[in-house]
Amino acid sequence: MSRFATGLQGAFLGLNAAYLLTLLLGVWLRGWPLNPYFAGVALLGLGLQRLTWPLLLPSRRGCYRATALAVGLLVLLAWGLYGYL
Amino acid sequence: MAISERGMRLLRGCARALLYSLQTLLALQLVLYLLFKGFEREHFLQALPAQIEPAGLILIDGMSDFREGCGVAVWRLSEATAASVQQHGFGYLQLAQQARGYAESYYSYGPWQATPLAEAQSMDGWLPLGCADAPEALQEQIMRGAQGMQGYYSEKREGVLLVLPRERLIVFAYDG
Repeated sequence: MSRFATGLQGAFLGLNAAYLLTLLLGVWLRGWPLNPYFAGVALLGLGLQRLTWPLLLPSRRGCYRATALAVGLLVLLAWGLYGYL
Repeated sequence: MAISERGMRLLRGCARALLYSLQTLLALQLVLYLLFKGFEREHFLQALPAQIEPAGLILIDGMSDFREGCGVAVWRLSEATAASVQQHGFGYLQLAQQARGYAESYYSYGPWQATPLAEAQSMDGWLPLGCADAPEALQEQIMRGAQGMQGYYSEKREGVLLVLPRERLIVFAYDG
């Protein structure tokens, strides 16, 4: 898998995982409401990561984690601003 | 019949392309949805008069079809605005006649009135609130404020803006 595709896979992981985390946090904190359709989309997206994980080159897993973290933090920041700003 | 090495490679390539396309499609949907939520939040914020300052969003929810819709945007009322409304009442609110972000007459608010809000007195509940999937405690809080005597409301075309200083809530309800 190319470096770009690896980064994109990381972005998908960050987006889906962070969105699901915001829904979980939404039980206690303010944020966007639970939308069952998009919760399903995120769950399916996260599940598909299991199929792409073996395709990642071990040497590029750092890039995968870094983009996942960056995109995940971006989603969490957007969620925080949505409810509290 | 055995599949040749080339056939297997082609099959694997097709499966991967399908997988990546599906992932991209799902991610795109989620990104567009989150962008929409941001736009929706900004739209409802801009529909509030500048004098009514929110201190965080509680809920935006409703139902809509292609053209019409109903629902509510509920904000926490800032401490400063709550104090001004409690202190000066109509004197403060009479300045709040136009949405902060829209100059069109559609976003002009009518004269401010004291609650109870007539529409919220019905036994069937208040339609815009019924359109939203609001937590029960929040619904009760809003209905208590709308039916009580310590809040204020102003009507606009296809909407009502309710300010409840005691509950520290701003409720923008729309129906149409």
